[in-house]
Amino acid sequence: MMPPGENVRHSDDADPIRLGIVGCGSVAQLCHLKALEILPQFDVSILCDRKPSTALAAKTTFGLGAAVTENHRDFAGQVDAAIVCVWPRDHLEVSSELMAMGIDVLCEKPVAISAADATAMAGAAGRSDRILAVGQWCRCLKSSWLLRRVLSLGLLGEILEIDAEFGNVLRWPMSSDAYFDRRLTPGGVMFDAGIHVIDLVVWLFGEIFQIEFEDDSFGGVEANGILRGAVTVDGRPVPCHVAASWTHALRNCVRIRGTLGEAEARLGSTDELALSLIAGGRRVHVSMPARDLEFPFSSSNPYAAQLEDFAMAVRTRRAPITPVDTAILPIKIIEAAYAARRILEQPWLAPWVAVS
Amino acid sequence: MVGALGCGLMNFAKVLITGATGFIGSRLCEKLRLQYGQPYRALVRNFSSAARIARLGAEMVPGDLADGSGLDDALSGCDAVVHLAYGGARRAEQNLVAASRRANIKRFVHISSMAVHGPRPGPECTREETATIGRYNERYSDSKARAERIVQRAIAAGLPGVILRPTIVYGPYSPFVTQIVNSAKSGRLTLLDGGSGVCNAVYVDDVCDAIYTALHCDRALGKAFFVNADRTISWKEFNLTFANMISPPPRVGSIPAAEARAHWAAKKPSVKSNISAFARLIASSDFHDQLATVPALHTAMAWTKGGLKKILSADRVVAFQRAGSPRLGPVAHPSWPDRGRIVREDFHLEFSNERARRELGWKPAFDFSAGASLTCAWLDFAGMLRPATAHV
Repeated sequence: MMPPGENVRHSDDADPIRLGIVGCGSVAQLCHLKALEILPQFDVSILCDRKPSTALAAKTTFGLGAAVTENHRDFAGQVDAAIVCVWPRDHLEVSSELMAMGIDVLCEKPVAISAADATAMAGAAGRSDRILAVGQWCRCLKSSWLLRRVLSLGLLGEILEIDAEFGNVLRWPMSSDAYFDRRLTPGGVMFDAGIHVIDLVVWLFGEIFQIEFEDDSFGGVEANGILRGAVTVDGRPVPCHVAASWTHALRNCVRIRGTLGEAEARLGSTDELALSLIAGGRRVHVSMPARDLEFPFSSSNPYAAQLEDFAMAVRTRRAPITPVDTAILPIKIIEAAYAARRILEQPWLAPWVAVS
Repeated sequence: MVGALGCGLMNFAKVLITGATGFIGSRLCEKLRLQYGQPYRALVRNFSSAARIARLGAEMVPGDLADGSGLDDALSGCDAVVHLAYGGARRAEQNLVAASRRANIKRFVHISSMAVHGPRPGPECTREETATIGRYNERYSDSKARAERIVQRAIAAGLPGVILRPTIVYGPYSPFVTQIVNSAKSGRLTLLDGGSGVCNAVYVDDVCDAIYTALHCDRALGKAFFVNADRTISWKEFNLTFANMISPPPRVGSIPAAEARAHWAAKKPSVKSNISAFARLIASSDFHDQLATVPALHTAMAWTKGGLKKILSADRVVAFQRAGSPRLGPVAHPSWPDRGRIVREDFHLEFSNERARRELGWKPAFDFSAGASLTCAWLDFAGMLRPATAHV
């Protein structure tokens, strides 16, 4: 293993950043490698997967000249930065080792299987003086930035309620049951879609407290989760509702209701924010476009925007938009939710199920 | 209700369920886990569909009936099989039956369908004893009939099997129900012949109870049973019950079934329709995505796109991409019932559940009102009763 900083080339603006990817499965291929196709900032140099066939498939599918390896330790001296897409249980070990080799890391969400592990990763990043960004791409959506702008302008008046939902019928390509295996992943939909909207609420408002939580797990990982709590806005507690689902489509947006109107930020590559404002005693529906927004990324694709941000962080040594220390709180919130867990009421499950 | 007539109860160490991630299979897994406490193993071809059963914490194993891969491992330690999978694969049943024989399975419950009697069954099909299975030139019916014939032959050769033929199964997660609700949310629902067809609706929990009973009832061995509710309803009642859960309720129209059949018959491929469809395919971004899964083609496409970007300005690239976007042709009639609905709803036979009640000791616990009420609770939970537009 290379000592921190040794034998690592830091690219200037003219040269692409030498990038390695650890874990070349679905998220690497469908999200990161696809986004990387349009980004000149990176040169994918090494692909790593414990199944060489998976890395080779990624290499050929995307027409890359990258080397292929089964061991991320081969990245030493060969890359400046890495994307980590292995199972969450391995994030701590793999990311820490890469950073110790002097490699900056963008780690997929959830950054770790526990807040303790995430804190340890933040410590590892600090000790190695490396960048550790986390794949919380909702912070890279134009609609999220528009929402933050609306809040900063006070257009909604006094905030009364926050409602965040993210859910779809799960169709993510899988080659095994590992997605649902508690030995490899910390939970179900809350650590998947749920952590995205929780992260967004935390990014906008800070900690969620007074947490109540219901899910539909009966010994496995939950497919539906509903969290109720409160955030602090202008010193007042404001009710907050977060829902995530793997079994059906939800609204897939963050809605904020205030005394002067409502705003709805869609969780997609949208360039608009839906607003409903009370003006002159009448409710007016408008769309707020992103054209005047100071959005720091050129791409509306959140994965590409996130990679743009990561590239800028690597080159300028500034903090990324999703630094690891800000990814700890969402995990703590889910841990608190699991600790407060009750069975989600589902009347159709039938009378023999005791719903507490 | 299960085992009301006191079938002998066999105890199974573990039941292998094929089709466990489907509509009926997922509900069966829920009931085996939450109600019956029966250990089971879910055979899963595509784990992407397994979220609903993954929450139950039961065993899931990979396997594919089409090529038989994983079946021997999946059956290891199992002494019963519930075969729910339907994929139309030619060798699925042969592979499963052969593997079940090798594993010395004690009970094989095959979930067939009323569709084995075709889209227009005669009155002899009301009862299992006289019902015939033929070939109908209708894909689903023919596929289910072929599968059942294979299992029947295996049973005749000694496989300890039971065949269940559920009718129109509905309940939470039912594709029949969500189709109606989605149509209603669009503001318009079209019935066939005023919805006068016979709907043999049976609630999914009743089907699962019948499966559980068939697993345990020795008297069921070697026989086939319709699994239907006590009372049939009209397709008008079925459609409007769910459509009217939407607020505001949709406008309801009706067209003759014969006209709908003629409409789809006229849609049979012509040279012009083939060329149009091909042009749409070539321009489709989905098609490009699929092409890109072939590594050589992906590389060629990336090279071509890269070359274009170098040659053209950014604005022209965007203009080019827009020009290549698929243009949808005019939709002839947005509310023509699809072919599946025509087969299901232009139907005029009631299936008796008398044999299942008499010999299986099973009887349905849910009338349509009760089943619809539970389904409504799920639709509400799943947000499907919300207005179509969720924007503020």
